Amino acid sequence: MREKLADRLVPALLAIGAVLTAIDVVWTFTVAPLVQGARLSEPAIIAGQVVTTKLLLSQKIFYLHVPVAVASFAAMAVAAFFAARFLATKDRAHDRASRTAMQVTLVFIIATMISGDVWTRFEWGVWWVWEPRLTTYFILMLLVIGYFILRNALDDPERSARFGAVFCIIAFIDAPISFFITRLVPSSVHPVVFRTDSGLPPAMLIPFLLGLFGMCMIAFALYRYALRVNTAADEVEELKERLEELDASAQRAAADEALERLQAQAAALVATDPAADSAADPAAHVGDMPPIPSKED
Amino acid sequence: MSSPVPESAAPFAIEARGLVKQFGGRRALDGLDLELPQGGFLSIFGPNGAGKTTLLRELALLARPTGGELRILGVDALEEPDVLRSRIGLISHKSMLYGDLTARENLAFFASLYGLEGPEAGARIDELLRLVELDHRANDCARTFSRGMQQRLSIARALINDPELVLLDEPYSGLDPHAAELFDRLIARVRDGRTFVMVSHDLEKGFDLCTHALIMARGRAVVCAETAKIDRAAFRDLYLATVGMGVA
Amino acid sequence: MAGTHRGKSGVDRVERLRPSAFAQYRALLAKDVRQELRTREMLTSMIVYSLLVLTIYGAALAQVGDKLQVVSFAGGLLWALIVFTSLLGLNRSFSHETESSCLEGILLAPIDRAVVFLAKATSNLLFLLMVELVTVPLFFVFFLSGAELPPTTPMILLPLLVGTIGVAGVGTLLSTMAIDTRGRDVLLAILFIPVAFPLLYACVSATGVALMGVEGAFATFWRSLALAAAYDVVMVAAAWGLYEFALDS
Repeated sequence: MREKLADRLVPALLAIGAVLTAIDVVWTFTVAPLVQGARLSEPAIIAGQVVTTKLLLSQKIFYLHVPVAVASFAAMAVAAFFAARFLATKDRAHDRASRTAMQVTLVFIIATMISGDVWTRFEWGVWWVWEPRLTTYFILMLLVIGYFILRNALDDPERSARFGAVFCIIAFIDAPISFFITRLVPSSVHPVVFRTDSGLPPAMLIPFLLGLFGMCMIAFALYRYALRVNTAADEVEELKERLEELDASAQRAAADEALERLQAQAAALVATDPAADSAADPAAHVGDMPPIPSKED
Repeated sequence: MSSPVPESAAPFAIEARGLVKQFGGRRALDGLDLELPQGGFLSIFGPNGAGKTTLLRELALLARPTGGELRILGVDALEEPDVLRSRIGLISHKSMLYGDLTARENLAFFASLYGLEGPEAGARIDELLRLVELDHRANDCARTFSRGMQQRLSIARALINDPELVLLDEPYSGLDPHAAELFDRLIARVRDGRTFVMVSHDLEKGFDLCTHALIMARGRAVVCAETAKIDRAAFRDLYLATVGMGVA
Repeated sequence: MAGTHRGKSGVDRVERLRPSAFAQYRALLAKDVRQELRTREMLTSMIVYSLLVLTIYGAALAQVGDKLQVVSFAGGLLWALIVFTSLLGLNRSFSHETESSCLEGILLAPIDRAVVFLAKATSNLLFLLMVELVTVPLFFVFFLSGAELPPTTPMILLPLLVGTIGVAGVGTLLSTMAIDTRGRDVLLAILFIPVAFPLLYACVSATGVALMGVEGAFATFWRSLALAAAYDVVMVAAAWGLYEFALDS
């Protein structure tokens, strides 16, 4: 019941999320003042100029970038949660949820990478720096891509799900460690940027939070939507297998005949022995809906 | 499923009820029922993909069924697999031997996994090597052995823990007729009241050895009966019909 | 518990013992070491491979005249060498186990899956350390022989040890999952490098500080080392706990 409700909410959530994010962006670019958002630990030459501090126009992208980043990490947390549930229960629905959340994570991480890169370009005048946030998201992107490569490299769906879940949990643990290590290990090569969050004027907390909620709503809506698509895809797969099974029913007639023949023979042979019922009753299986064939070996 | 039933009260070596192995829409096992008395020899036949190997892996406790009940040697296999593992042995078409260790080192290694060490283990390894007629090659690397010798050594490996249930997974594949005959003789010598379960494509050999025969298709039992009560020709017809079904 | 009577085959009954986890661990480790000492497959291929990487470094650094310059990024070069060499070794570490399904033979026994992990991780750690024993001195001979190294240089042993522990622990889990996949060599690299990145980052920092011996920078050394150690604790524990799912069950 609750799931049905969640699915009905998808369009509404998408709309509200989009509106909130739009408000955030408009607010940011019209109302938000330029801030002394970043200070360098030492004078550095950036884009041909010696600077110690910067007025950040690009600070504005922060209002979009951080919500996207938070949403991607939240999606990954959901993926890891369902991965753990899958390992505990071996229920395929949890695997599907975990995989879907990872797909959403990938989308948001790519969005994070793009917005982060634009930020870098404006803030430091270069396309890329190995700065803790960017590095972490780069590693996170590699981890999520690795997850999908691992799953595709395994033919057996059960193993693909199990190994995928293991790697998802490892990646989820690795990501924050990556963030803390790249942040806490001082790098002697690049100037360290201290992000002073005090640079965020209190009034701007509102658009920031709006963006954050908006993005999380969009992420959730995308997740529900993708989950529905994935569920439908899995069902189609199962139905296809069942159809193939039905196609082969003509061949089974011969086998059924042989079954009955043997049954008669076996019954005649063991008529005097009460242990005859140890033979399974093949007739019980004949009329059933054909099961889905196994693929092993 | 609480404590295991005392052994005396367990006439069945294997008792399976509605065994299911499923992932997604695929059912490798689809409600399989099976009963095998202690000391019996069950041969499992069936087309490729019928679930034979899946069933054997579950009996070997290498895979867990997703549904149904499974009691092995009177112990609930789903509740207490670790208690059972030391009472089960598996001989597969893969030797499960380290090519770069000698015959004796291989056996000593597997013995120590079962808690057998020191002089006691040494004596047992000597005995087993004599039994499989490899005592003269005890200190040669397994890699230098012929396929037949490797298979004999893997019998010794599987018997290292003195199992009550021995599982055979396509043991004849890759064996020449002479080696296969030797293998049969050895199996006959180590029967000793143990229960055997064999998966094989060789209908004649499998039928000769066994006391019970099971034909599987699509994860279910087509028939499971005592061989003594079964007409051989009819059984072969049924087997061929099952293999010819093409739906498994 | 040994069931019915025996004797026809002349094989005595065996008393059923609950095997101790430590004895099993020791047996698994001894088996790996004995096998490797006999074939030297993993060690030889890793050492030869590391020589090749050093050769490439030779070409890459041919235009850098000043040894001092090399010292400033020697830590990074050394760790790149270690990571690539380890990847090769980790890929090979399960080749004996899969050759004739030996891993299944192990899993048949009443053995805790975590013991299998610990034994494999320990043997991988031992082999990686043995290889480092050869390659690290070679690296110094080839690229730092003229440089004036500070007295703090021997302290690189600490990040080397801490880093190798993490590489062996995480690598054992990931290579177990990569064994039976299509294109497993590439897959292990794809999985391993991003997971090991934080460890690499911290170890390069600590190694770099020790090699440059800058006054007052040792707070950085200890902090990096502590972070690498924290990574080891968290990731090895996670790999240990998740290992049973990486084996078939």
